[in-house]
Amino acid sequence: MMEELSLHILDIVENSINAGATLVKIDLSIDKKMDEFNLTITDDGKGMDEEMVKNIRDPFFTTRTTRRVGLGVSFLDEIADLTGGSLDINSTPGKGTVVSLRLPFNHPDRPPLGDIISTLMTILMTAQDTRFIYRETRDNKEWIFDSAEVTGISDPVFLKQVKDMLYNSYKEFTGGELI
Amino acid sequence: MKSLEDLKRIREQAQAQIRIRTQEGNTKIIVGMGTCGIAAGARDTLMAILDELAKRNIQDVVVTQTGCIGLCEYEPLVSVVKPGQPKIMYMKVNPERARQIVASHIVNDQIINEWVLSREEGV
Repeated sequence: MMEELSLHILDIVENSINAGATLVKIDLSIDKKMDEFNLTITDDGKGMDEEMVKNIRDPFFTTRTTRRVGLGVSFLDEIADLTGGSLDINSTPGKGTVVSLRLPFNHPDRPPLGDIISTLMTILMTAQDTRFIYRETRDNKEWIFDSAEVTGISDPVFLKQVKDMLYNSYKEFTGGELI
Repeated sequence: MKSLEDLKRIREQAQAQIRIRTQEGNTKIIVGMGTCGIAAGARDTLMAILDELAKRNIQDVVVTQTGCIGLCEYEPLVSVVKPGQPKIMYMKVNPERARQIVASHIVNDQIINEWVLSREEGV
């Protein structure tokens, strides 16, 4: 089990990258008053057929040949079940996949978002050919990171500067509030 | 993002530095980023590697990822590939181990045998 939703976001985006996505959009929309915590991840990867979408929540389903259990999506499904939220997966072969997770913001079993900047940096470092756009809204405030602004450089010194900059900018957005 | 201009400037500087660098092969660090790796802590391991490389001002190392290779119980897995040397795969690399691998293997060419899971010649 993963403790932070930001780790699940990383896991889902890694799936998108492995599906050959060139663009991944991550949208997190939080409305505390409406008790909403909605995450949508959209990619233009190779997509899945109906049979596969049906099977993907099953922890004993996987396309990989290196092990016999899949885990990623079934974890998310469990969180949705536990909190009375929902997980929807829509996919079109050749077009892409949309993963939508809707959770009640205030539910005690909703995992915290956690370290989203580390997740964004990990995607940036490990998938240099995939553009991704992260957009978070919290009660009418918005924060956006588009990897096209910094992509294509693997120099660790540069990447660390990017990371520090993102941390500061994001902290300004959240006011240090952990959700 | 408000510091976009700053990012662009830093990016240009980095690109200029890349141009002056020689063309010899770079050292590669490969981190396992399958679900198993992520669940075992690979993201924090990767961040520790980034931090340690940056702190030591090491610019010519490429950090990349691989998916699950079926050795989930040994995750986080980190491989180091230096030009002309065997590929060394380290197991159960927490952030602390990651920092030591950078200091010992990347900087000083000393493999930490205790944590090696496999060696692969000629990659």
